Amino acid sequence: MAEASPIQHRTRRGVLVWTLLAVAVTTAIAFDALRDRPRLPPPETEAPVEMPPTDRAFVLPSDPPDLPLGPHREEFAVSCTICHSTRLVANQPHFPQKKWAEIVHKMVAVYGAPLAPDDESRIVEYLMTMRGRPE
Amino acid sequence: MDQPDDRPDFRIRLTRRQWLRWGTVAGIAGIASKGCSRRIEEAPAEVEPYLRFPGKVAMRVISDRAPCLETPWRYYREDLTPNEAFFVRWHLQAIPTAVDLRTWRLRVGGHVNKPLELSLDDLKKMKATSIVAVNQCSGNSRSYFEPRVPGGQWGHGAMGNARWTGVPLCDLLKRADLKAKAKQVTFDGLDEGPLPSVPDFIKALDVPHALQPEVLVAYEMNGKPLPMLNGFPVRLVVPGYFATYWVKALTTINVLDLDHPFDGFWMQKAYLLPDKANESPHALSKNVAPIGRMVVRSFLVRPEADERLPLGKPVALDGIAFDGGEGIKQVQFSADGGSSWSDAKLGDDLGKFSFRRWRAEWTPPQRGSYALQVRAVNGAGQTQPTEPIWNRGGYAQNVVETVRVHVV
Repeated sequence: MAEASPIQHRTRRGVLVWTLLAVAVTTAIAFDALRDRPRLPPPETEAPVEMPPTDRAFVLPSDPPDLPLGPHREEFAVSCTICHSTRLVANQPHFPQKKWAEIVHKMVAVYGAPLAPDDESRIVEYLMTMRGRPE
Repeated sequence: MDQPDDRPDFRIRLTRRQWLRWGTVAGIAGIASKGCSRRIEEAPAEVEPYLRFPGKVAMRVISDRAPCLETPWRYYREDLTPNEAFFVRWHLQAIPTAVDLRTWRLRVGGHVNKPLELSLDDLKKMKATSIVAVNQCSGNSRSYFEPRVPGGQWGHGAMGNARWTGVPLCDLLKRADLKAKAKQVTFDGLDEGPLPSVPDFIKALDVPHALQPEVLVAYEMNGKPLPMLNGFPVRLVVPGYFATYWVKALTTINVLDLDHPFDGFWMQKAYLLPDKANESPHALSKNVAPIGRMVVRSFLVRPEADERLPLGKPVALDGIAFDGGEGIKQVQFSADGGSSWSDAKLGDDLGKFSFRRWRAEWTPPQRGSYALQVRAVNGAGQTQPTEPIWNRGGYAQNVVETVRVHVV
C-alpha cells in the first residue's frame, strides 16, 4: 500500500467494518428465513451409498434409545430384546395399562417370549413408565 | 498484521473501535442465531432417528432389529423409487446379512412331479420378464390411525415403486410340473426367528393366483441386483398385493395339495383384515380374512406439509396414485377442504401396477392456511373414503389425505 494518512486508514477501515456488519446482518436474516422453511429430514448432499459385498456379512447399525429409569428396566431390556429392539418400543404411542398387558401377553402366548406370569406384570409396569398413559 | 512500528497509538485506538464494532456484529448475530436454535429445539421429536444401513441412504428407523426403515418423502418425486431409498421391513431377526451364491439355491418342491434346485445363474438363464409395480407395506401410514394401534409406527413411507425383473413364477411351477391336487403354494425366505417358538415367516398364495403371469421371482430391482435389505438374491413380486406376500431372500417354494391347506401363523393369525365390515376399537369384527389386494391411494408429494407458498403465483402440485392393479383412471385435487374438486393431469403410464404421476396447477386466491386434498379413482370405479377405516391391525389405510400449506 502507498502512503496513507491515519485518517484515510480510519475511513477505509470504517467502510470495511460497516460493510462486514451489513453482510453479517443480511446473512443472519437470510439464514433465519431459510430456517423457517419446513425441515427436510436427512441432508440432500449425502455421501454416495456404499453397496456391501453380498458374500461377507455386514454389521447392522443401531441407535438404541435412552430407557427412562424405573422399576424392572433391566428385565425389560433383557427379555424384550430377544426378538426386537427397544427402538420399536420407544416409537410406540402411549398406551393405557390394559393395552400394554394385552401386548405383553401376546408376546408370550403367540411368539413364546420366555416370561413367567409374574414377569409379565413387571414388564407391563416398566412399559407404563416408558410409554404409558392413564385409561 | 503488518503494521509499521511508528504507529503504536493508532493500532491501539483502532483495536478499541474494532471491539465496539465487532461487538455490535456479534451481538446481532447472537440474537439472530438464538432465534434459529430455538426453532431447532422446537422441531418435532418424531423426525429422529435416522440411520444409514448398508446400501441405503439415511432413513427413518421404525425399528433397528429387525430393521424397518422408512423412505424419505422427497424420493417420491421420482416415478421409480431408488433402491438405496426403498423402504425396508423385516419381521424376524436374524435376517440375512450375507449370501454365498456358490451354495445358494432356490428350491421348488412339495406336490410337484419334478422338484427343482436352481442357482441364481440357472434362474438368469430362464426367460426374464420385467414389470413396474408398487410394493406397499400393509401397515403403511399406521401411525395416523386414531385411536392409535400398536405395531411398526409407519408414516407414509412404507411404499415404493420399482421395475422388477425376474422369472415368472408360473414358468417355474410349470417346469416343476404341478400334480393334479395342487392347491396352494408357500414361500419361505432366509430370515428366521430368534427362538424356536417364533413362527417362521412363510406366506401362501392359491395356485390360480400363483400362476398369474405378473407374479415374479425377481433378481433385479430397477436394473440392479436387489439390495441385501430388500431381499437379495431373489424375492417374490406379487403386483397389486400388499408387500407381506413379497417374501424376501426367497429360498423355498413349496406346493401344497388339497388335503393339506396352509395353516401357518403369518397367514392365519397375522395380517388379517375385518371382512368387509368396519370394526371399531370397542366392537372388533369376528369375520377376518388374510389381507390381499391393495386399495386405491393417492398422495400429494409437492408441496410438502406446512410449506409456505407465495400469494398470487401458480403453484405446481404433483403426486402419485396407485391401486391393486386396475390402474388409475382419474385423480382430483381440492384446495378448499373437499368442497370442490378439479381434475389433475395424469403422467406417464408405466403399467397398471405402478405409481401413476399426477400434476396440477393451483393459484392461491388469498393469504392463509389451505387444506390441500387429493383423491383417485381406479379402473373399476373404486375411490378413497373421506373417513379412515379403522382396524385393529392398522392395515390398508387409504383415507383421502390432507396436506396443510400456508400462503404468505
